[in-house]
Amino acid sequence: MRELELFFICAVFICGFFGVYYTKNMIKKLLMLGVMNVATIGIFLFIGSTHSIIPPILSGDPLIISNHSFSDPLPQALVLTAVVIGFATQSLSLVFVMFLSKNYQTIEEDKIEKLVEEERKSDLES
Amino acid sequence: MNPEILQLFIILTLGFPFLIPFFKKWVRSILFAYVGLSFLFLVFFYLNRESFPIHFVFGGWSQSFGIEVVFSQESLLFIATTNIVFLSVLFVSLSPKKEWHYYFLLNLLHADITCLFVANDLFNIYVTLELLSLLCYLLISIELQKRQIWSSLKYMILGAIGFNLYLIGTAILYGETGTLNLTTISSLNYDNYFAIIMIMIPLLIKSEVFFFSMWVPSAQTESEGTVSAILSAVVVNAGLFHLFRLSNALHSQMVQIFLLIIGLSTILFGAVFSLFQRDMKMILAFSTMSNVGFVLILLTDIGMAYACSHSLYKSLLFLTVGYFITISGSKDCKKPAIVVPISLYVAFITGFLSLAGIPYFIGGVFKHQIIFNNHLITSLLLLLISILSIVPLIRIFVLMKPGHRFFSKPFVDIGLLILSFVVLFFGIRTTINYFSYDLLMEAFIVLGISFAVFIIFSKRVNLFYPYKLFKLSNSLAIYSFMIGIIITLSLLA
Repeated sequence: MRELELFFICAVFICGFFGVYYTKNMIKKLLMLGVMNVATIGIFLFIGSTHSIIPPILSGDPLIISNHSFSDPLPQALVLTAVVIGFATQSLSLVFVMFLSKNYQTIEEDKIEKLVEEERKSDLES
Repeated sequence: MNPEILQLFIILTLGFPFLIPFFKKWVRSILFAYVGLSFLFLVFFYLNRESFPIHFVFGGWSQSFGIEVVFSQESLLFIATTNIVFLSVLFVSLSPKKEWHYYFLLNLLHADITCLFVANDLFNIYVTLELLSLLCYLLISIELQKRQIWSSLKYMILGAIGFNLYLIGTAILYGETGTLNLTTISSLNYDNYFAIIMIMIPLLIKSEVFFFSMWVPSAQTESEGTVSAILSAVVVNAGLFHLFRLSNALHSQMVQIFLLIIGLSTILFGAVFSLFQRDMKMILAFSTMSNVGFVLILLTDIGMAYACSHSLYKSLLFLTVGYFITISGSKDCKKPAIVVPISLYVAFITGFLSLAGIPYFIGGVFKHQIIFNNHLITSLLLLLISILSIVPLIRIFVLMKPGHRFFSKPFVDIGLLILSFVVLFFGIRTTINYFSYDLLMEAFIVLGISFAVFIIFSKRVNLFYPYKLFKLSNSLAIYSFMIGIIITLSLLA
């Protein structure tokens, strides 16, 4: 079962990676980056739940605490920071795409790249 | 020394930037006070250097679980270098005056990088590196120009993939060792190369290593002069510093070989691409790549000293070229030469001679040691590539004619003179310890050959920028290909 979970997480990560690579639409590219981020968070949760899947919340049952039969809280604490940072990066990149779409009238990577290069060349030669 | 001083240093460093939004009118005074305070702390730490490394864990937690900071000799060297570059950038960016947002981001970047140089656990390094990246994206696009925003977005996408890989590496390492503390990891003889390489990838992206940093040419060229100087001098050091610490903590032969191969290819590609550039800032961007390669092939104390030297003279070069572009109004190397203020001319020559590895200028001695630390054939090859990396700089040099006026823009001149003085002062200090006539002869022969190559080939070479190679999709393809190779090799090892 654990292997299946890991396989699923890896599959999501690879899908995200190929999505970023193959999609030319910038919004879709950023969404696929989000998918990669979710898979990364999944890996942290997978590592944290190696010993148990019981949430690390203090309950009345002293047996759980004494046996250490709860999931590791540290990866969860760490991943919370990663989620916040991922959110900040995603928001900023969406703002950038919005700005580019206003100025270039497109969100296609190839078209933007071509327009940028033409602009750069004419700027250098002027 | 009481380690709680380190806590005070961190808290003050992180707290200072947040004064700026409340006191916008005094933003420049706040920044100068900040740099002054940072220098005072560094002097204090230097006077207490016998107690290095200073360890401090926030909140009294154990080393394995708490946030630990370590102030070592390397931290002092890198923070001092950052402070000097920051002070010069501050002077240069005083004219014309900029909006308070710019200074706020600049101050936050400095505070973040200071924390990065003392961070001692992998997750803290991740947080500071991500914050550094976010600040870089904002600084690159600070003027809200279309091309700046596109460059920033490219950097962001490549960076985001790298940081995901970093987190995976960190998760695997934590799962196997139960700690993220570098001191603890170094005592464990950890040898899962897959995790190690995953952790190293974003550091390579930050260090402007070829294959991984295809964002560099556009971001360095499109961003404004002071931001380019910071990217090339300060941000590069962030990656190199932690690559050095990681390779020291892991004692792994395979990691050394991996960095050697990546370093050699970076030196070669950086030098070759810089030869064919028409854009001045592009030349400097590729030159940075090439010099980072020199650090990677000898990631020891000498490599670190060269990284700091490089950051000082490269920031000087970026600031002078930025100033030159403002005067001439063009980045094109094919334009005729123009008269420039003497201060700019002197500053450029200082940076140029440092890059050429001339003794009595910073970096010369270390570059010599890095080149001749190898097998004879490799050393000769490196010498040849270092000649190639000097030639494009001569193309910028011949565009400048010294004029009569000294102070055209006083603040810019002060900024350039501070850096020039530091480059010369530390250059003389290091050369006195290691001077030999062979070193002097070799440096002048290399410089002479570079000028000869420039005279013979300058008009026969077609200048071009292979923009298709650096397109986002192709950058991603190269990046994924390299990651694929590295992962396969690390799994086989």
